[in-house]
Amino acid sequence: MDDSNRPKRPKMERTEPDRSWMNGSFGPGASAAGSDPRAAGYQAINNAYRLIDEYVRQGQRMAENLWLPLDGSAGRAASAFNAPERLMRAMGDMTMAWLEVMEQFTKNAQAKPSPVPAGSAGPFASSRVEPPPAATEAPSPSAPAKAQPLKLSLDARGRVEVSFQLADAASLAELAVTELRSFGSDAEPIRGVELSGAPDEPVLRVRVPEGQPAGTYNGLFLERGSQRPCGTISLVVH
Amino acid sequence: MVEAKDPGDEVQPPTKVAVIGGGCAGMTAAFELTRPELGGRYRVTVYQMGFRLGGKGASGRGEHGRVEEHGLHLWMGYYENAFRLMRDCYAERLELDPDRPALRFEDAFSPAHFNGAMDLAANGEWLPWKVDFPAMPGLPGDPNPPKLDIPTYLIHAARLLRTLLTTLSGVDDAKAEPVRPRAQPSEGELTELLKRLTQLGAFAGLGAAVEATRWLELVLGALPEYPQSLIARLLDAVSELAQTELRRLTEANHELRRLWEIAELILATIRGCVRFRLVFDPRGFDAIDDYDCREWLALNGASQGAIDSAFIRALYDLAFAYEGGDEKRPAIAAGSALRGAFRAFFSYRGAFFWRMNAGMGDIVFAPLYEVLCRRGVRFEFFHKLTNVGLSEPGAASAHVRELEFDVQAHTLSGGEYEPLCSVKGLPCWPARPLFEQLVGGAELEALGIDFETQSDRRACERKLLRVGVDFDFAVLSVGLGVLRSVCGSILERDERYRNMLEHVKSVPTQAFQLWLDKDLWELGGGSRPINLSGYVEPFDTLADMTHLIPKEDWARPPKLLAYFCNVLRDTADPRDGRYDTEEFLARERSRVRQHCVDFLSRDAAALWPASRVAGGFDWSALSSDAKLEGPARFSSQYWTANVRPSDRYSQALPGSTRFRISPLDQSYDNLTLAGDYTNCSLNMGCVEAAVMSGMLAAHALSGFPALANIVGYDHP
Ligand SMILES: Cc1cc2nc3c(=O)[nH]c(=O)nc-3n(C[C@H](O)[C@H](O)[C@H](O)COP(=O)(O)OP(=O)(O)OC[C@H]3O[C@@H](n4cnc5c(N)ncnc54)[C@H](O)[C@@H]3O)c2cc1C
Repeated sequence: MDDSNRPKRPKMERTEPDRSWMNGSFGPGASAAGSDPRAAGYQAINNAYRLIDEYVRQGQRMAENLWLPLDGSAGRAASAFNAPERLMRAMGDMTMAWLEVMEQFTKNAQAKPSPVPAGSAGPFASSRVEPPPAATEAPSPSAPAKAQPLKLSLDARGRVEVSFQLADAASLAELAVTELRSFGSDAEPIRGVELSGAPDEPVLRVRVPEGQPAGTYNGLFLERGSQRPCGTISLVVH
Repeated sequence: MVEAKDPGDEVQPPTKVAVIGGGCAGMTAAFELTRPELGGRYRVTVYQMGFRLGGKGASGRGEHGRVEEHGLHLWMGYYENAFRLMRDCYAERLELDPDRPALRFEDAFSPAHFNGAMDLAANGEWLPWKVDFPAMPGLPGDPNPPKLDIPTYLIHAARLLRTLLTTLSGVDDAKAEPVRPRAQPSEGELTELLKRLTQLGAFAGLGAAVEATRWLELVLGALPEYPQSLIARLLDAVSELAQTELRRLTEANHELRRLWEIAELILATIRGCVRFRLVFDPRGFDAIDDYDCREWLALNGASQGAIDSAFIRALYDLAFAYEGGDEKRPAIAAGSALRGAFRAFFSYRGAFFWRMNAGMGDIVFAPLYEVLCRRGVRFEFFHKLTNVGLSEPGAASAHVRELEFDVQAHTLSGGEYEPLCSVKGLPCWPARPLFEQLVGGAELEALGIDFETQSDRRACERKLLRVGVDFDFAVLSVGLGVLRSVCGSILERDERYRNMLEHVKSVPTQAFQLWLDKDLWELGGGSRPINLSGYVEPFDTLADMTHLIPKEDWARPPKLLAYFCNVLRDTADPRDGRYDTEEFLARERSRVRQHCVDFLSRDAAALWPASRVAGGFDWSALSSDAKLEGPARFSSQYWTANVRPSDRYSQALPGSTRFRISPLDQSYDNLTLAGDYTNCSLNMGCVEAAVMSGMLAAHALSGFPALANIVGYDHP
């Protein structure tokens, strides 16, 4: 038979599970986040962002404890006592986290067709078994990520791009969103971000102040009760 | 090129799909591809060697209508996809035929809450350790499956740890000192707690350890917010405290020792997840699949005692996790094992285990067969695949060009073989072919052909199916052990297939079933039916299946039915795809028979103390019409050596995950693999993995079901 008329398998949207934590996908209704390699990168950055933010806050607390009059709480006194050692440790952890994030981000940015081989994780370990050779045919490029059922209302003077990933559309009513920050720049965070509208039709409103410096600003969707992150939002100001 | 079409689109003729192998995976693919929602876009034919569907889950009715299984089969409460499939199937069958008996899903499966492991005490005595798993809300296969990720598992684990430590310390958790943090503790508060625990050292006692785990829960709930080193220190403090305190206590008290072993394993798991950064690893649990589970637990601080504990042995036993069937080589990929264990313990619905209320063939494959027949699926029994022929190397797009079969028998009617028999009104699979339907049936019966081997090439016809004429798409669902004998040309050309067969291994198993004229009480085995694992070789796992006796057809029903199961030391060279000669099978069968007799003589007494009589096992307790005495009476029972290529259990050995090929793999434009050995995300040899793989195969051909609707596919 004429080979061109032969039915062929449809092209796959993806050929691997999406196991990224932020995707949180487990079962029906889960989002198809992760088909875009950049999403994983942003995700990692956002995780690190939270970590770093926490260190900054801790640093501020330590500074308060060291140089400002103590308020008498035992906890604060104790942490002040350990401050130099803790600061050192914190810096070490932070560097590690950054290295990890950067490594992951570069990997994702290269969007290799073959995944990281399973099994080789470890605090020290690298790959223990030779990875298998590549597929006979490279998988097709992945389709764009599915749109989220969340409306966007944008108020900006200049050109901006907004993208977001959400773990579970069903719980939209329970979400809060953080301000958007830019790494490695002194730019003010974008604070005009909020979720409003009816619970079944929430709207993500983003207001970018005039004169906001160009750059990428990232933030998180959080579950209101647990404060657990369940999505990322990324905004590029041109 | 024909892409997947919208259901309303009627232009194209249906695509012909050959599903080769009617086990869990193949039948799932056939079920998904013929769902009414797809509007008949796929015309499916299932090609199956021999006379029955089911593969490793097949069963047959023997004399007295007794159920003869391939091995013990229990379904776990987290088998969301497998239960969904069966519930849909039962609902459809009921709709078609509301008046037939035992057609309701609720009658087909029943919860088994009471489970246990056999535990070896310091004095060398085997003690059953029995656990009642609590009933959990809902049923597996209900909508809205549990939404779980690694942090949630860790919180569950920490909670369990606290319960265990509370039990161990005798501290009434509700009345414990109210140092309980109400909100998420700050890092400063944690450091303070750690300091306090360190200062108090051993004097802090278990109460302090309990308190520390309460904090641990909160910390794990917000994992990314704390530095890893702090969490590690917290874990160390908990384990050090508990260990010092408990060593003394647990030496004398078995119950405490077991609880502590579990606590230690949980601690090691949490510590490992944090140390190995599994929460953030895009590979999820796969990231640690190069490690053996015991090795990984040890790396993360579990003691030898905990690693050798009954709990861990039970885990390995249930997964037949012994390389080459050798009890001295326990091995299972750490990530796959942890994923399975987390899902099993923290995401089950209804019951931890579910039992089937007849043979697996009768409960699973008979209804699937009937529903698929009604949907118009064709079944070609006695069709044994012998070769998958590929397109020429230079072809524009690599594909399967032809499929070669041995036709093992023709029907007298010239139509389809009708495979089911009826036992007490229930459609069942017979243990032997229904020879009366076959051309030359009497001669075939006399020849004693084993229709389920790969080596026996006696056939009444060689059949060649051609792409574009007889099939468009092929779902290859024959099972791991068979691939080598049917995929010669793929293996020649495709290194990934060669690697998969080299690294993803399978193992033979052995099983036997006893029908006894004494009940559990009379045998001294207690009063409640139980499933046990972790016992001695050669049979480490058993289940009480007495509930099946009323479903069998005895004039004088036995009082007890027990199943035993285990791996079997491998004596075949699986690189020879057709080693299953008559002589080999006979030898293996008699080897297993000897194992059964030895086991009953030597080891049954720990399970059933009253089965011991002077000279060994009380053989007269075995139900039998024949006047056989002593060990010879065992011949009236059922035993099986699952050594044929298709019988071999698919293992999850360390370092093998990356070599599994996914049903979604696009190397061949009209072929997909389906089976529990494929990369289906769960990656364990179990019904749920096979079903997931079948769903993925259907997705690969049709785009349905959506990946998001395969529960657990995107699980870490
Ligand atoms: C002893 C034992 C106990 C088990 N207990 C449990 C349990 O308690 N719980 C659990 O979840 N899982 C259990 N499992 C695992 C479970 O049975 C398997 O994971 C599952 O049945 C595999 O399904 P499959 O479709 O991948 O493969 P198979 O069942 O192997 O299906 C392959 C199909 O292809 C057919 N076939 C083979 N060769 C050919 C050929 N050449 N031509 C045509 N057809 C062919 C076979 O007959 C079969 O129908 C157990 C397995 C064993 C061996």
